[in-house]
Amino acid sequence: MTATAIFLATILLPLAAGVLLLVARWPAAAARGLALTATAATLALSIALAWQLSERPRPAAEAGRPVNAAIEWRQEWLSYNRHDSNVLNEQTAHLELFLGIDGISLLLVLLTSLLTFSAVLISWGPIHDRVREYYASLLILQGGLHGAFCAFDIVLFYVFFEFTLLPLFFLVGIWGGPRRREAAIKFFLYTFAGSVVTLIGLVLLVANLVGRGALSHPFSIPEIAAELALNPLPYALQMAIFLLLSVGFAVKVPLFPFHTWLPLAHVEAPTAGSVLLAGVLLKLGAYGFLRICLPIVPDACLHVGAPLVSVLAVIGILYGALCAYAQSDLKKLVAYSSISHLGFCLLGLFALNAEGLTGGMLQMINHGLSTGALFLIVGMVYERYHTREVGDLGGLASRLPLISALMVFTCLASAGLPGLNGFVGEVLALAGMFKVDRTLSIVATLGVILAALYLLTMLKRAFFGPVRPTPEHAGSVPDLRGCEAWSLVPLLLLCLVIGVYPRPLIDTVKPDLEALARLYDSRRTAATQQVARGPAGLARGESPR
Amino acid sequence: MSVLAQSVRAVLPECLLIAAACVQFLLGPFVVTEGVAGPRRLGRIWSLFSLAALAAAAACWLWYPAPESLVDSLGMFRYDALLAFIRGVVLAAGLVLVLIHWDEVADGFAAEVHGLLLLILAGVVMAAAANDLVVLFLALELVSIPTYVFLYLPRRGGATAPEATTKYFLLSIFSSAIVLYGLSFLYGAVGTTHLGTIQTALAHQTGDKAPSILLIATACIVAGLSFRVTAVPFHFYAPDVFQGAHAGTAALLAFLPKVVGFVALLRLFPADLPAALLGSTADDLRLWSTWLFWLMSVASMFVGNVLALLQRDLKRLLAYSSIAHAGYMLTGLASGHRPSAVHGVAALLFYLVAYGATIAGVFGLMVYLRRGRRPVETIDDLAGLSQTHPACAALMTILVFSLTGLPPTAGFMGKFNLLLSAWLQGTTTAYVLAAVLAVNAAIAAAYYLRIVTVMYLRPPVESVETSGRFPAVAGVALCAAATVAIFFFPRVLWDLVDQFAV
Repeated sequence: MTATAIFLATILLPLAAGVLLLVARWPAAAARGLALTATAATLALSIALAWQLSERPRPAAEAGRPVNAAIEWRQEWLSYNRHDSNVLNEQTAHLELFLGIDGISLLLVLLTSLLTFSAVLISWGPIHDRVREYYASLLILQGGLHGAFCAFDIVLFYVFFEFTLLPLFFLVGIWGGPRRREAAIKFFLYTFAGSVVTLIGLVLLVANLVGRGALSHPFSIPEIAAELALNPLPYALQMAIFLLLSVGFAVKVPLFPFHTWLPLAHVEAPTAGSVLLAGVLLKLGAYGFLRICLPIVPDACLHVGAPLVSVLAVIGILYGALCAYAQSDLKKLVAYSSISHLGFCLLGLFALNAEGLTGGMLQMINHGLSTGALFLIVGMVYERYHTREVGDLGGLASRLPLISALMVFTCLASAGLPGLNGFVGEVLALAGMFKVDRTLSIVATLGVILAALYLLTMLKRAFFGPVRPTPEHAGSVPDLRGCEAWSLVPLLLLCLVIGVYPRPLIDTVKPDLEALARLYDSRRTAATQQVARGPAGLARGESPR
Repeated sequence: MSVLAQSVRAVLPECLLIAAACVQFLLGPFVVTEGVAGPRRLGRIWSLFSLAALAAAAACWLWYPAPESLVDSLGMFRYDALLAFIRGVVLAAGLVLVLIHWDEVADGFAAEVHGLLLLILAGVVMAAAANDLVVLFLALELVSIPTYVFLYLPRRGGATAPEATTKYFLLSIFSSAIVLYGLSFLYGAVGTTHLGTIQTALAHQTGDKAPSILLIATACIVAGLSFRVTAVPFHFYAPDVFQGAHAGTAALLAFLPKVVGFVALLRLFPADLPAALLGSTADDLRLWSTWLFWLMSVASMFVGNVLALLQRDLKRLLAYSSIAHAGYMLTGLASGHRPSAVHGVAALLFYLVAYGATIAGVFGLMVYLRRGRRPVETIDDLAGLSQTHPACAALMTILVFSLTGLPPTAGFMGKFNLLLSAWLQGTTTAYVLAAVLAVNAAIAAAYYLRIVTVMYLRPPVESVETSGRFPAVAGVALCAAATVAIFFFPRVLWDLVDQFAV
């Protein structure tokens, strides 16, 4: 199989399997089998894709081309003929089905494949109702996420970005907890409203590019980025685009004041839904910043985005950590810890230098692995005792020794213990920020301490300490089951491997992040030159040559 | 060829449809045999007859087009790309509507119902073919008058049907009178009823300000036609009439009047104006009409969406959503006329087709589903549909997501094109319009989501049944397939609509 075929299969296989499950009236066992086969095959394909990509020479990092696809597949979708044609302009604006992959996309696709595989396995026990549709939703969600991470056309990205709402809406709403309907509707409307604002920003951006007429493909992210690196948009316009685009992404991440939908959605979602929501869907917001905002509106990101987002991120880190400390519900605790951890991720990205970007990127992967694992374990505990209240648990270590041991490991990874994965990402992100703004970086470091505090306190109260009598199932609950082990252990192994040897990950994303970092270096120099020349040049958005 | 022969050729498919309708009216009363024939047998025969008439018209449309020389003719009719396009859309809509009405009509009225449907379809295309104010008005009435009978005749809507019919009748007459009033002012100002000549006369009028008589004429015509497109200010009949009518009739009302209204607006206020005429009376008039469209568009979007939030009755909800969609479509006319890559008129026509496919499918599904002996009425009637009829729920979900504007459906593509066309105008009014559109899409998501929530997240209360009639499902499936296909292959449709925007 060629690389392109493998690449397309990683997106189409889960979608096709999902649609097949929706259409074919198979019994639950067959549906489970198909879902497991499809996710395993997709995982294998993603690994094959990673191998293919590592064989290829990667383009050298240039400030002028901040986004490059290593493998790409393009298909005409819609072409707008220009009616105000003059000879200088391109005659047609092509909208494309443009799928591509680079290091950033690859890592996120790998993460998604792995977590979906885990999600399918962990649902083996708890899901008995409408099994076929359940797995169909999971698979379609996976396909949508792969698509979103691989979309190199800005409209196609938005399409997948929106599309992922639908399967998750059903996952939360049908198979969730007691307040599932409320949670699903709140989640959907909140994120949809955010993404509509993003759509306005996106259309504002492409309308300007189509109007400018310099590009034949004004919707393709690499071409937009290259064109705008050369001839930036006026500063005020960049600002408007950045602020509009950010709303949808900030809701998705979620950044501090837009986070209110998250705890409810997480608490009510089924375990697999929480794993994918925290592990992958939240990354979609950070990925949106990384893929679209950073390369396309660099000046706005540098002068407004960086201070604004990093302050909000630091508030999110501390606020999320304090809220997590105050929770007695295990799932809520993990949900708030997500807000805190994703703050580190955005803090790194908006440091806008190579260290910060790498740290932010690693933090996305690490958070996906460790929080995914946390949700898996919380789900296992809930399945056994039908409670997630820390007060009702206690002394689990004596009853579920294996699960408790794995929980301790996961908590340490999540808290950023050196030698495990969380540490690498957080250190790089904080180091990146330290170069830019020391105060923020130091304040953010408090978040690491708080993380250890709330996670260890939770461990102490729920897993150690005196054994509480639980009304039902006492004594008869099994420890780690086979399929649970298969879903959990790979994540934890990866946590360890990345913690000890993060090099392959960093090497994969290095060329892409380097290109972005170069772009920002050149914009910083341009800004300092323009400050020397007076602010007028910046306002007009002159290019620094 | 004589002018008459040419004119007839321009509307030959419609002549076929009207002839078929006449056959149905004339033969209908003689073949009704109460109690002898099996239930609904005549209805199927007349449906087949209508399908044959539609097929003949389609054959005519495809293989026997009128000469292009009719574009600037002095006759009553003209033949151009817009007419050919509208004809295709209307014939496709006719196919779906006949399928939806297949088994829904009692034998006693079958011939009449199907004949009226053909007349309405013919009227819509006639409006697109009109090259004269009189013909345009007659075409509008050819849509209205059969609609009154169509609303009343089936007598299936229960006690509310007469009320709905009366309301529709009175308001339709009122709006027609206002249009006619406006047309008479227009005639008084330029002294001719021929559309082409009117444009030329306006173009050559001296002085850059349009006389107030023309402004009044424009306001009257636009307001009157807003009845057809269910836009503010003549929108308020829609909820009552949709609620009172049979769902199949509502499918017709939600789409065909919109087509005829927008076609009439496009014919009366052509978007393309030669650059030489900028600043002339024609240009001034165009500015005025654009401003009216802007007001109507913003008002329709907000009124439709906000009031739809309060509805529990499915047909009322869809009626308010229909008002909102009229507002979305009007943005295509209201954002401005600067030539650009995405022309407002093209975006409007694209959206019109996408909306037509979607809404016909939704109402078709309501025809198919029933609750005991009564049709599905409120949103709660759909509770748990995903468990009792998963296929129906899936179709409904696709269609409702298309109305919401979510990918992967035609509704998303349509909204994207409208937004892009508005932003490309680059004026403040257009920006406001685009922002209003986006905000309204978010408001609308709340009530559309409620439908999906009820179907998927609620347990079935009491079993929903289906009429078990295959043609209606086939029609709905066609609509849903078109909705998805337009998303994946928008080029086919876009290349068609883009040519009217040159």
